Amino acid sequence: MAPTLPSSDQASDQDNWDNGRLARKRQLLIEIVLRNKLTALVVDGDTTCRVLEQLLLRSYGVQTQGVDNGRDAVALIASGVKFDLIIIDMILPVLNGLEATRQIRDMGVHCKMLGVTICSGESERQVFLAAGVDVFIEKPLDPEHLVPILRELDGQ
Amino acid sequence: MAASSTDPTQQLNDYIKTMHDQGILDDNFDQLLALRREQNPRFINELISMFTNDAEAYIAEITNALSLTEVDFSTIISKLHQLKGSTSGIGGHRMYQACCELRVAADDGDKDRCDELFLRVKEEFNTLKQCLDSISQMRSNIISNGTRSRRRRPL
Repeated sequence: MAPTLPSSDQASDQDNWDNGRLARKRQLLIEIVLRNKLTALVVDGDTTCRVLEQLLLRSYGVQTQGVDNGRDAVALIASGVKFDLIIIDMILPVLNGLEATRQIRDMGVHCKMLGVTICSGESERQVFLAAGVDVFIEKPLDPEHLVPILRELDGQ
Repeated sequence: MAASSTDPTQQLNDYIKTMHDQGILDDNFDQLLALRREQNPRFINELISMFTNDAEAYIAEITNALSLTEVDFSTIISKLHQLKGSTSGIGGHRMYQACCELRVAADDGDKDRCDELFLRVKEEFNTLKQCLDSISQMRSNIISNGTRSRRRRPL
């Protein structure tokens, strides 16, 4: 079950997070305003990771869709749905991220692809880049890596 | 109104800081809290529930894979990958470290070492789960108190 989608509810006045690190991260979360409506596909076999990545993207106003395996990602792209950004995990159920990336690129899709995975080495990074991702990031996806990419896609 | 040691929000802040100091939580949990501001008040609690339910399922699958006469290391690695990802996302630092160590043993195909390290993964999960459940409960109390306060306000 995914967390409830964002609402207009405001946190309680008592809910005062007095934490320097939190303040800096919150500032990073709201520091950009996108001029264009961007769309992103998140491909991750783990629900928590997928939900977190979608929520982070949505916090910047990016419209997102999520799928939990490589085969569904390829099928979605093949159906003609277009995205500005695809965030894809290397290890996925059914069809792994490497092969899914290759198939998406073979379809002539040139959108920005961000490869993410956990606890990887240089060899995994090179393999993922060779498969067709533009950028490789260690999980979890964070604003420091995501914001420059969103700015670039937004033409800022 | 100045925060005191009995202020539920301050108590929660102090608890989270203690969990950081003990290495149970890391900065990734702080990132969740930052996201929280953009979402509904119960977002953190729902995410914690999602994480613990999925983690328990992954642990059950790894348990099964380890119990086979011919250990299914492929399934262990696959489920461990997902468990590591979600643990890292939720900010479970010590549990994440334990998962990384188990991954090495699984890559080596070392069943005895896997058994030993999996035990530690489960211990760290129980510790993390208790921590997250406490945070969830404290958050629920804060949200409930906030709701009651707003209802008591004069129109």
